[in-house]
Amino acid sequence: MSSKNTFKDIDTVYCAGCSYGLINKILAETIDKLDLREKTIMVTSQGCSSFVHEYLDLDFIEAPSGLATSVATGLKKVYPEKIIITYQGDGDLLCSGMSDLIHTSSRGEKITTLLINNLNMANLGGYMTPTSLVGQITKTTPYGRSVDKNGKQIKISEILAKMQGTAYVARVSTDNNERINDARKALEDSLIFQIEGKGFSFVEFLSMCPTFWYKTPVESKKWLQETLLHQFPVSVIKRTVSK
Amino acid sequence: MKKKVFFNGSKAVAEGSIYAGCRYYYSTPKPINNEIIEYMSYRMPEVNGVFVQSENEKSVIGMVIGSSVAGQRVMTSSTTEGISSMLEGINYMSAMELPSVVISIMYGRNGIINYEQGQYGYADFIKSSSHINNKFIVFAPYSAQSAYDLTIKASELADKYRNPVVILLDVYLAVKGECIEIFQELLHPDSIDEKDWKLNGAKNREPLIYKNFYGEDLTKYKAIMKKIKLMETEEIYEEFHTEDAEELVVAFGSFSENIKGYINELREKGRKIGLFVPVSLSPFPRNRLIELAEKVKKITVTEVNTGFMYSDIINIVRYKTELDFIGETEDIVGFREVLKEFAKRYEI
Repeated sequence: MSSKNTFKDIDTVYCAGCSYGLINKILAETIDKLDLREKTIMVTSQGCSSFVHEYLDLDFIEAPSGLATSVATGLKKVYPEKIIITYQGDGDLLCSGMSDLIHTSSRGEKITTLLINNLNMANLGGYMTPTSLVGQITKTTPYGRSVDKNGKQIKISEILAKMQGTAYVARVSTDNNERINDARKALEDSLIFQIEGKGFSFVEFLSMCPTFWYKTPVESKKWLQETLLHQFPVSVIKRTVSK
Repeated sequence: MKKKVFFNGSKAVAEGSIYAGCRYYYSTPKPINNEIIEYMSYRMPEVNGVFVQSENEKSVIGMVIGSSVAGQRVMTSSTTEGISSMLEGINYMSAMELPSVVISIMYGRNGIINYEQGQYGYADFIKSSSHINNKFIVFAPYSAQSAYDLTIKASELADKYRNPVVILLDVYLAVKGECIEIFQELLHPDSIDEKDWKLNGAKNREPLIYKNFYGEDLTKYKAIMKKIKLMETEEIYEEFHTEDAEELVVAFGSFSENIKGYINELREKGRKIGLFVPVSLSPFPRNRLIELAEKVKKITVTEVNTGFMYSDIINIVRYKTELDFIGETEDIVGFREVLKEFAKRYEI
């Protein structure tokens, strides 16, 4: 057992009501539970997700925009026995990183990708991403996202579940205790799938972003439960049994 | 011990990098790059290496970053337009101090796909390439043998300076076979130093963090600037009949071999002319060129582009001697016409 805790007890830079802090904590606790701290390498990317290295006591590399899954591939080729996790926001993974994601999952690279989906590019200042809901106000959709102009949101978990190389795909939320426990379980399973070498594992977290949803944290949670969970239902979407 | 083989420049760089300990090669097919990628696809498994054909150049450079930060010798190759797509990642590598060998094969005719000799890739890395303030070591081999030797040197320098090193191949070099000498045995892995900066999980040490934003702290930036200064000592050049030359021609890459033929003809006619070949385009062998410029009456720069190296040489030589340029203009396009123009001017 590693003597150190993965989670660092320091002040947070995240906005009030943001889910990143909670997701970081359950990720750290899962890594400790499986005793993976000393063999884990995290690949972060651009955006709010890149702050994670402040809170977790792990080796980190910050990849260029969208390339985290490819960087993780390069790392996994060198260290097949280590745990490689990419930690990306929706703006990074689903805009510039889409082709890398699809091909990495198609090759069945034995890595775990965590998508923190807060429906906008928060770090840049609240711009539209492929997951922004129809009608959602962002800095580049001031009249709301329109189907004509921007199309509908991409549901990446459902797409990845259809790829041959993926072994585990789940969408989770952290808005109440029950769903936090589910998220914890999904995270643990995704890492176990990687340890067992079953294939590409993917967990999508629905994350609150009160600052750029232009709501209070309480309103955000209500909106997430009443609107978002209907658009992005939480569940374990794919779970392969055989290797 | 060395053995003789019949290799083109593509196989030479591939085998050179494998000799030097590269076991990770990522690339994506492009015309002219095919020789390297095909060779690596069967050669890498033979040496227990990893070859991945990736979907595009951006993800190629992502994989290169991943294996490089894990402390391995890595190589990628593409044509100059493919390398343009990789530039963002190559610059990140330079900023994060990650080594690799990058082979850039230069197309002809403004990057429009054809197999004609061109030297447009000169401008890619010689100056800082785009969004960062950094420099790269750039080698331009002139033969398959020099391509093999320079790739080995490039692998060592990349590790030494923790920076990508670029090799500019031209089309003829990439496809033209010649007899070269290569090492029989590959470099023993023990002779490559273990990297204390590699990511391998934070076991019994503080975690390492590679990021591209360093905030107010300028220490790292200053260290990189210091490193750039040190890189300037890695000059390589070749000279041909310069000892008694009154006129000098400067050319690089395999194009310099074409010019060498003309220089021989001119020498036979009794003309005192010499050839200077900068093999390291960055750092440019400026001190030797200044020495030669003080001796000769005229320097002619010839290259198959609109004068990228010429403008650099103007800066180096200044008013020490007369300067002339034979290259692409509105009337002269392509490698054959540049050679024809050279022959015309020198009455060959």
